[in-house]
Amino acid sequence: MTAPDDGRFHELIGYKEDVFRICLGFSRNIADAEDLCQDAFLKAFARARDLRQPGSLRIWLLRIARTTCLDHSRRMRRNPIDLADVVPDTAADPRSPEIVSEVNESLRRLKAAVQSLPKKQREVFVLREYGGLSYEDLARVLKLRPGTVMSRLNRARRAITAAMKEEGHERK
Amino acid sequence: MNENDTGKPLLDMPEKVRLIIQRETEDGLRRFRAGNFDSRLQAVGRIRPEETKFAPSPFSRVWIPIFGLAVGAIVIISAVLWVSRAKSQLPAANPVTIDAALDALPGFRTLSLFHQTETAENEDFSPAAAMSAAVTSATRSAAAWKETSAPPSGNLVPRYSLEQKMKILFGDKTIEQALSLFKEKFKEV
Repeated sequence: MTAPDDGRFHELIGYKEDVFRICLGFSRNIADAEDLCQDAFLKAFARARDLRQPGSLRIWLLRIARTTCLDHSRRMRRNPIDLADVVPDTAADPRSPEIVSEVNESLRRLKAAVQSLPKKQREVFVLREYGGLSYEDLARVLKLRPGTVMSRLNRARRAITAAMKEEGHERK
Repeated sequence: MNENDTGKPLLDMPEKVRLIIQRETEDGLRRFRAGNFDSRLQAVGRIRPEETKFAPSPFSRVWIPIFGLAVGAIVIISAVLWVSRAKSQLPAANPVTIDAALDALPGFRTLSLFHQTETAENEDFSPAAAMSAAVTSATRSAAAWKETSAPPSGNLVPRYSLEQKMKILFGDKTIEQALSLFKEKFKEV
């Protein structure tokens, strides 16, 4: 596997934070997200020659990131998320242990809720809420109509909200 | 608030969830930036900007192997056909004709001797007489049998045509010997 020419290489690398945010949304923790981000770029470099419309480089790259993350999610879906997966290292956190614990538990619940979403809703939710994509970009990445994107996003948000409330009540 | 394709207003994300995501993203990005992703990517060893060869296109990835396999199959089939054809055209190592094989049979040799010495003047050919002569001759002397087991000379055998030999064979058990002899030779013929 080799890199594309220097210009395209640097252009691709310029989107690394966009890709990382999406990977973070799909994965359980930051370390996994970094690995996924790396995998996505390796795939992108390998397929750089297939790109027919250089103008849509970002969309093309985000599509690859999405596919890479969904493959990873499929492999990991059978394993339930526990706190150690989501926050492997809390010793270095300067906040008080109570706050850290509460934040981490909220994060674990969110991760579990995202992972429990159907694939179509999960990808829309992550691309929008983590990746910060516009509805238009979402529609282009997923090759859907903007209306469909919004519909799926709506259902995903409802499901996430319900799951977070449900878990919160269970804890109380 | 936007509207989706069902006409319903798009639900806003709860503030609490938004904050969790924002905090997670900020923490992640901080660590990601500190990790020097570019160097890490290059350290994998597979990505180096100086190695600017492109990966093969989908066309070449799919069609070149198929084309290679097709050419290989054609070459192999052609080679097999050529070898089998060449082999079928090769002359047999020791070609044996039916006529010569019949001549090699002891009964015909003794018959020929008998015919030459005793009935040379008889122009009419009788299969029954020839058969009895052959049997008589064969049983007369084992020594004579061995003497005649040598390859026939050109003057003795050609007295009978192939048709005549076949007539004799059909009236004689010698056909079994002939067939057993031919069994191994037919392919070469």
